Amino acid sequence: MITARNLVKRYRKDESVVEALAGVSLEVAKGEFVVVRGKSGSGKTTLLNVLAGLARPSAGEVEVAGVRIDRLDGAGSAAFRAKHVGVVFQMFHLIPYLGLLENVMLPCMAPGNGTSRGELLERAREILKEFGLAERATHLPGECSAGERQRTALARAILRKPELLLADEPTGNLDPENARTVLDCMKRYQAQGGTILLVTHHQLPGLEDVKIRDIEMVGGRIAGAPLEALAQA
Amino acid sequence: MSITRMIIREIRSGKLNFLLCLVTVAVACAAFVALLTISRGAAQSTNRLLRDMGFNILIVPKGAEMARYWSLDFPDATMPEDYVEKLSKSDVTAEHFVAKLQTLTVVDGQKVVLTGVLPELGNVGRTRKKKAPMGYDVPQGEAFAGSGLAKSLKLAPGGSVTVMDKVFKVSKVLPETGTMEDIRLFTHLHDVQPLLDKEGKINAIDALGCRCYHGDDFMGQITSEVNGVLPDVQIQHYKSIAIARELTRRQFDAWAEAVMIAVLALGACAIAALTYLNVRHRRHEIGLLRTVGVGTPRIAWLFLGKAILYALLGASLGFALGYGAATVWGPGVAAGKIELDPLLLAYALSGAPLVAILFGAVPILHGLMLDPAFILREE
Ligand SMILES: Nc1ncnc2c1ncn2[C@@H]1O[C@H](COP(=O)(O)OP(=O)(O)O)[C@@H](O)[C@H]1O
Ligand SMILES: [Mg+2]
Repeated sequence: MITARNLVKRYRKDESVVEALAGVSLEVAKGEFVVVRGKSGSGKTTLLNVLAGLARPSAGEVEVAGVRIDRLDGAGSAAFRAKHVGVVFQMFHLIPYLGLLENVMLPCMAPGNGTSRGELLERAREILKEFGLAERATHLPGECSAGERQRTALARAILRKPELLLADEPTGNLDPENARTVLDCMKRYQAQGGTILLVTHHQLPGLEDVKIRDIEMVGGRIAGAPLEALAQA
Repeated sequence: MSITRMIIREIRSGKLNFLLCLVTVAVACAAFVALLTISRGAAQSTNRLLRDMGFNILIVPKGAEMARYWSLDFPDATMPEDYVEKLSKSDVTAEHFVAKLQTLTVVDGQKVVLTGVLPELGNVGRTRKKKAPMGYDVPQGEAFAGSGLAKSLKLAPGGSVTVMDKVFKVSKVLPETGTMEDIRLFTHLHDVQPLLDKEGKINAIDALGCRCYHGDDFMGQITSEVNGVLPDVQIQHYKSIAIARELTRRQFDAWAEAVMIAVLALGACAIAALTYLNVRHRRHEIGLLRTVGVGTPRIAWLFLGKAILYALLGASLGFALGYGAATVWGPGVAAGKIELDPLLLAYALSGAPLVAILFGAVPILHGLMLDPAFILREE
């Protein structure tokens, strides 16, 4: 699902250069649940953004769902996300003036993959029901709890059944109970054949019963990875 | 989720931004429509005035010093008498042509402007419609006395007056005008010419009721018309109500133009600023839409669609307000009838969205060019 080799991402500001990714190589197979842990500033968000095509790597190659995303332009990466990837953020990023159901339906604004609007609406309602949000379909995000908002964001990310779900600290703003609910929702997505890459600096409750792969990031690199990656970068 | 639905939802949730944009467009459109409507009304009424009254010009030989004309010390420069006939047969748009030979002389200690005139000629070239003569058709051997002269020289119809050794029978005393016309003694041109040794010559032609109302530059137009027939003359114009009104109208137009430019500039800046605020406020939305795979052109339409909507509503409202203002205040300013021009509505409805899109484009593009990964990092 993911093949990344020697990914480097540098941020330049005036004279100083920050190397957020310092040579990351990674393989993730279809159906895996990968948890990337690491301290704040270790490059987790940057890695996730590169895998989502939201940021272009400064060097290295990355293929996601069979697409060489390091070569895509803005329109290409948008189309790639619409088709293959769902993203969940710590900050939820729901649209404040739309109800929860409408927020879940937002991916319909992107070019479709053949699924009709009616089917998607049907599916959106199903997911909201599954996530315990059926009663809240018309509520605005501002009227909902953090847990409800994050479940809505997750529902939006998986509306079109993307092969890959990328989640950036999805439980960062949630109490343990809500965190557990959100992670349960993710597990169900995985059980239906999805692949998950989740980055976090928190302890995640309730993942004991699923097979997850733990990866640790330190200073823009994957801990324990051979140093030749660094040397090549 | 369709774009239209999102636009409507966003407007309903952020009414203030939309209202401010709408009011900006409405005020600007109202100013445009009111000023243009009033200006057109004024143009129509002065055009009508110019058409009905015409204006009068004085044609003198080229090089003649005008200051001396006005001080009644008429210069020696003359032109052939048949110029007046040429003019009357030409296409010059005037109603009457009066050939004059005039000089300042003294009769019994009283200054007299001895004015020989030919019976006036109507314009046969273009109008063919003979207008009633202006009334200075003096038979040879007779004289019409200005009211001032009649008073000081005690002239009365039936009496006589001797000028430069020639005796004229006074056949009419002209009504008082309060101008230099009051010290004129009108006689036949052919009586004056021998007295001044200027047979076949005149030193001025009055062209009365000139009508160049179809153009803007009426003096320039009449000058070129006259010079087309008579290249060696120059043209002066008398004051006329029509021209005074026309000049006032032009002042109003110049002022209105300045106001319209200012309103357009301020409105455009306000639109740009309000759009910038809206885009900035919604930057997470932009980042999020890009994350779910919506292309930037589609995102741009969220903002452009809104701009078109408030521009159309604002323009309609502004048109109604502007037309209302023109109807209320226009007649006082323009002294003319205020007419509704549906084309103006069409201009407002197409111009306002254009300006809104044009000046909203920069902040919208700026918002779309922000790095989504960077925006979405923000708390
Ligand atoms: N847009 C940016 N400009 C400059 N530096 C950045 C930018 N984004 C991230 N960084 C830097 O890259 C490093 C890694 O950041 P990030 O990937 O957010 O780490 P994490 O998600 O693990 O906390 C940090 O030092 C951060 O300051
Ligand atoms: Mg992070």
